[in-house]
Amino acid sequence: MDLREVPEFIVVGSGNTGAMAAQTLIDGGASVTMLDVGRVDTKYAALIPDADFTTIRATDPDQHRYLIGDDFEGIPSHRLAQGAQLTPPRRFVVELVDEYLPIDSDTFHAQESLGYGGLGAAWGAGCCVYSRSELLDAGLDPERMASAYETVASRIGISGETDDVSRYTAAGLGGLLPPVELDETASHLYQSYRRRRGGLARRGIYMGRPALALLTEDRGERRAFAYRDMDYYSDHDRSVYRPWMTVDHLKAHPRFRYVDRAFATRFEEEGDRIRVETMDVETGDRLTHVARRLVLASGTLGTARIVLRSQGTAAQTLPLLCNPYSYVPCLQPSMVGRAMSPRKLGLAQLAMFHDPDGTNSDVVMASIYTYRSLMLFRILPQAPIDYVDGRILMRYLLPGITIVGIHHPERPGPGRFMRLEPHAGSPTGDRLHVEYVLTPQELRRIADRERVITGALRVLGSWAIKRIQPGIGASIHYAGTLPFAADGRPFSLRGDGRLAGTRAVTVADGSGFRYLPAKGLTLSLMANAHNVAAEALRRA
Amino acid sequence: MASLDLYVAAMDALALDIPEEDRALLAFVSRHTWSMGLVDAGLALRRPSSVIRTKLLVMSAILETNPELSDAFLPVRRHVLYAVYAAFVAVRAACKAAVGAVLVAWI
Repeated sequence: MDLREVPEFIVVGSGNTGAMAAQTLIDGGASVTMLDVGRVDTKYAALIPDADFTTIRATDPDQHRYLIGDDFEGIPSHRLAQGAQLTPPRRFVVELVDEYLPIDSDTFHAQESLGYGGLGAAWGAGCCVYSRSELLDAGLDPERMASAYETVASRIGISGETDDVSRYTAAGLGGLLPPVELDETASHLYQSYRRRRGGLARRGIYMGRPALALLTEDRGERRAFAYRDMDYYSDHDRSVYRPWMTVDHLKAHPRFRYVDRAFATRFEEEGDRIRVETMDVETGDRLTHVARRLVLASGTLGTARIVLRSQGTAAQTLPLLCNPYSYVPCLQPSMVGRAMSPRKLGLAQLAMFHDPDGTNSDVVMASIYTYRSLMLFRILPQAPIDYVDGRILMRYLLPGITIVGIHHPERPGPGRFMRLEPHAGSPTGDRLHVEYVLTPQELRRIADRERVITGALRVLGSWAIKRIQPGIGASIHYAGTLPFAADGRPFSLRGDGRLAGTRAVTVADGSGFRYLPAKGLTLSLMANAHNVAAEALRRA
Repeated sequence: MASLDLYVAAMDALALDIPEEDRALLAFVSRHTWSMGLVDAGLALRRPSSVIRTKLLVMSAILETNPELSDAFLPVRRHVLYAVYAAFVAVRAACKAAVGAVLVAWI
């Protein structure tokens, strides 16, 4: 791109939504400048051998560097911190976040990213298609989303199965790749489900294989998944989709320009131009970028900051949605002391859905992971016994342990909002203040539904050990700050993603969703970003 | 880097702030090294986030990433008498926790 030209579009952010929007814009013939802080891992990626987890554990003398980190950042802490659950090679995702994206809250523990590929660089790859009623409740057009799901699926590659849960995961998606192989623990659990599925269905419980943005067949420079169980540490084969892969690909395009170190702070419309102010995170220099149109894809919280700075007043509050989340370590006694194959997937291998009335409109989702590559030292502190005996017992227990992550649907409520407030300690002079409180009735309903899930797991021979509630925000599923509204009220989005009160500012992330189903939202975010970008192209 | 050197580096890097209640426990286990397992077990029940548990966790993590010790931390296939052995370890752990909880309260 000729740098003297004013690009048609500026896209802010390189995460799942920014990458999808940018690709749609480039495919549609537009010129695009992507503004991104773009932190990358410069420390660990080169250290990680191209081998499977058990081989690495037995042979690599430098494994401590990427398993626990040069600064020992991978060792779990009792303090709630950005990226606490990330492995050291994924920590770049949250670099600079505490400094540039400060949040003041006693009730909400967010995770955001200024990394290259955003939160998508550490995404668990789970893909779900929202049902028609979920789409309508969220404010999304079911017909347009159906088509966008297909487009995104063909771009990123999704593997999955037609089974009892495909109506919740990959409904209607064509071209699914074959599903991943289950390991022994997951396979045992799934076989138990297959024998009892009739009775569980009467309780509204369904189990099956999740759809994953993971290749099980070679595709271009990306390789079929090799079951190395290093999914939380490296992207050697590029088999799991990461948004930076799309951005890497776009960088070769003459109409695409990528600007890193650029932290977008605000925008201003002037005639048929939009000026976007950025701060260089290395030098602190403030720069202005000009385009004809702007696509904000900074994540729900990041976009809210930019919009509030650009349009807000001190008292302006915005609503917020976040899926309540718990995780439950479970034990399958029949698997204790069984052999674990070196071939393994670290990501979710099974998914369970609680759909009490069978309408696919108020669904709770549980993702089921077997455990090994995240190491004993991450779970030993959870056991109420000493480390010496804990280690001995855990070696037997590990093949029987599953971690069940449970997401609940969420609707707007009065105790859930955010505002921007002055804060002298941040480079932008402000911070988000967030309050997020669930009512006692909501908490009871969450507990009740989790009991249904753990009860179903017990029927399958997997016993819940404890229920861990990491706090609101830990789901990393955020939405609803600028809810879709047809009347163009301030701080809302039109159906096409256009920000009310602006000519050509479009929001491509989840800010507009009025309802947050429990199902993983990333595929829907990407599909919406594609639609928003396509609409912006049409208007241009 | 040897595991002990790594542990020293970790303690430097983490710069753990040791509260008064943990100072007394640390002094006790330094004088009576036999009590380490009991204090660990007691803290696991009463105060899992104590600095002493954190120090043990750091050492455990460092040992786990030593390739010469990897077998001691990877899943093990059960042997014929594994149930007896596991039951013995579980009972031992429970006893240590019970005695340790009293010890931690007493120190």
